Amino acid sequence: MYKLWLVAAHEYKREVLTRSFIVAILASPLLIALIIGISMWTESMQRDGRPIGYVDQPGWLADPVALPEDNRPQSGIRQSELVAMISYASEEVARDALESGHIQAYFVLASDYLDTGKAELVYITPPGDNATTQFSDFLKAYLLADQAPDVRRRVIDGTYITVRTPSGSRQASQRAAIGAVVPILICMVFMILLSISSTSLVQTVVKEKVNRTMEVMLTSISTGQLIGGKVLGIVGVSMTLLLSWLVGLAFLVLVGARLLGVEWIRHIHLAPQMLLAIFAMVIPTYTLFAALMTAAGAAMTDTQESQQVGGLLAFSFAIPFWAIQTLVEHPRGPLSIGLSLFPLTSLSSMCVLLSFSNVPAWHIAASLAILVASAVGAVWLASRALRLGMLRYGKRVSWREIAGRTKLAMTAERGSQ
Amino acid sequence: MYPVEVSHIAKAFGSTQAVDDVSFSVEHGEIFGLLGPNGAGKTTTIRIVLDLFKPDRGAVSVFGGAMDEDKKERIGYMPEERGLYQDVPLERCLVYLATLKGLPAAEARHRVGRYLDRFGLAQHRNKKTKELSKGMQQKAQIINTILHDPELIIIDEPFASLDPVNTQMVKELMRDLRSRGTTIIMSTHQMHQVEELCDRILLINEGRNVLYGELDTIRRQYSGHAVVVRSSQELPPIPGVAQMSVHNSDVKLALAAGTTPQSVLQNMIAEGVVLEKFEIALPSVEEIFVLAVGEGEA
Repeated sequence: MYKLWLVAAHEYKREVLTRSFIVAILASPLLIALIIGISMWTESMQRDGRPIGYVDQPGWLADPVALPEDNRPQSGIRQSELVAMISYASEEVARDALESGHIQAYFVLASDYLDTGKAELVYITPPGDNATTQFSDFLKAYLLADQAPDVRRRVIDGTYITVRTPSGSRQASQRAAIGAVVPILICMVFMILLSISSTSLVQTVVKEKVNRTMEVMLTSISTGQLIGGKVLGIVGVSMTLLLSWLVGLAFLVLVGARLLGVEWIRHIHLAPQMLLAIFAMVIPTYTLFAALMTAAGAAMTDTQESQQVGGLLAFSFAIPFWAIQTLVEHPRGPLSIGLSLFPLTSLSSMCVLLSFSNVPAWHIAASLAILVASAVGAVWLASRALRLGMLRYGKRVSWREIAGRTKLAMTAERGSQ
Repeated sequence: MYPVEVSHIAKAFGSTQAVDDVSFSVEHGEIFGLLGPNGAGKTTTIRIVLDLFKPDRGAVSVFGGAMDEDKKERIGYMPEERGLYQDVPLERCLVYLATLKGLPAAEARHRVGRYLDRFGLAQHRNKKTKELSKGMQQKAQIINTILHDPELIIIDEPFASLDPVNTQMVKELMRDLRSRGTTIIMSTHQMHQVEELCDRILLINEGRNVLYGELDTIRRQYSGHAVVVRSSQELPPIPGVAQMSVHNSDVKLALAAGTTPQSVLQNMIAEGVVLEKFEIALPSVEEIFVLAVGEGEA
């Protein structure tokens, strides 16, 4: 057992203590920070800090009320993005101000505005969303001036629906729809990780087999210790990477919520039980895939061929996303149950189901149990594949040989005991 | 109890019979040469001994029984080709492999440092294995094989890629290991190395034993009808000698049929030849190799 941990520690250090791993750790959060940065920059380009004017033809806004401070516009405009609103006596004066660039646009309220709600927006270049939304809220506030502040605020806020499970453990709201799909996002991050690591893992196994490193190793340890340690090591590497990415993302979310004041991030609600269920499944799922890819590498003789098998395995993980509509509409249907119990697709299925429905505890427990058993079986299979295939240079081992009770397999098993 | 005992092993891969019938025993504290042409089955035999392959038939006994995990720590193995991690710094790689052989990490580091100094690799300790020359990689492989003081060393082509200075150093190392009681099985194509180092040999061809036993005995068996002499004077025609050929300062005399070395010696003395050297000409291992393999294929 001690040697198994030695192998695992070596494999872990071998990957983690490299420049490429540091780059991999930083790559994902940096990419997301870049995406957030670009989207914020694009958004800021759509906003204009210049005042917005209005011409009140009916004289309705002769004594305008100020927008209540606690009545931030529904669109999530920050205080810093509020613009000044200037009243003009006539359209000509407003046009002069627009042409001189003093204001970004102006509204002309029709003389029958209170009856028709007709208003005209005049601009040279389209005004910022912040300005038009702010003016719209301003008009609403004025129309509701005789109402109590809380009523006024409520009307301006509009509808706000929150959906909760009967147990209260899950909820999703309009404002924070992103919170509901967090499991799917975690699943996608896992999928990226799987596709990155799958080919390199298979390549490593084939390379070590061909250059006889494994031959030297097997004169010191058993195939079980070698494969078990290798799989544990690579699982540790990937989980470190995954955890780093998630911590990086959490940090970005925190920065987004606290420092940048992004409203939708502040309203994300995550259910601890749901996260626990997902993370409990992540490790055996990765172990399963890592072991199967190691088995592929051990059985194949050609790097390119084994890469294709690795790619196919990684691809199978994404199958539930093709059936996402059925899974969402029929979370208790046979396809949902089948995919969530089948070990290669159980994590991705469960992420979809947990995003859009309330999954009973027995269902999660059954998926997890099958997954753990499959992961252990896959490590055993990989060990056997290595035993049979490692030294058969130029000759591939068939899956039948690996799984079947052939004489060769049986003697190999005896030998590894 | 022999450190290694192989009895009538056979191994086929599909339709290819890699080993057909090989038997041998390796005695404690000897250097045993495993010889044979390419494809003779040497590597397969070694892998069967190491339990990397299971034989289709026959039996292998290592340290008195079947191979197990504990016995692996008593064996050092160096394959013919690369066997070290290519993308790991040399020192880290060697320490890791030594810990797998049961050495505590601190002791492994200490020994690795010592051997790297001895083999002139100390300044390359932080280089990745793939960055080393072939000769350096070969030396690193040898270090890995002997680092844990194994009782049995199985070494495939130990002198490949080594320059004459390092070849000499490795030969001395092997003699030193033998003198300390280490048993060595050496597979090689370099026959002069076999001649210099091996106590006993097994020559296999097409997966079967061809020659097996003490090297000196085998050479005597194959000694031709010839003697080697050295004299300060020019040799006159000698009765019973069919052919003379000069080899450095020696002359090799091929004897005619029905002639014995004793009668040639008597004839030379009778001719008044002053002899500085007279010995039965023993064939080189290379000659024996060619002869034995040729006989087998005939």
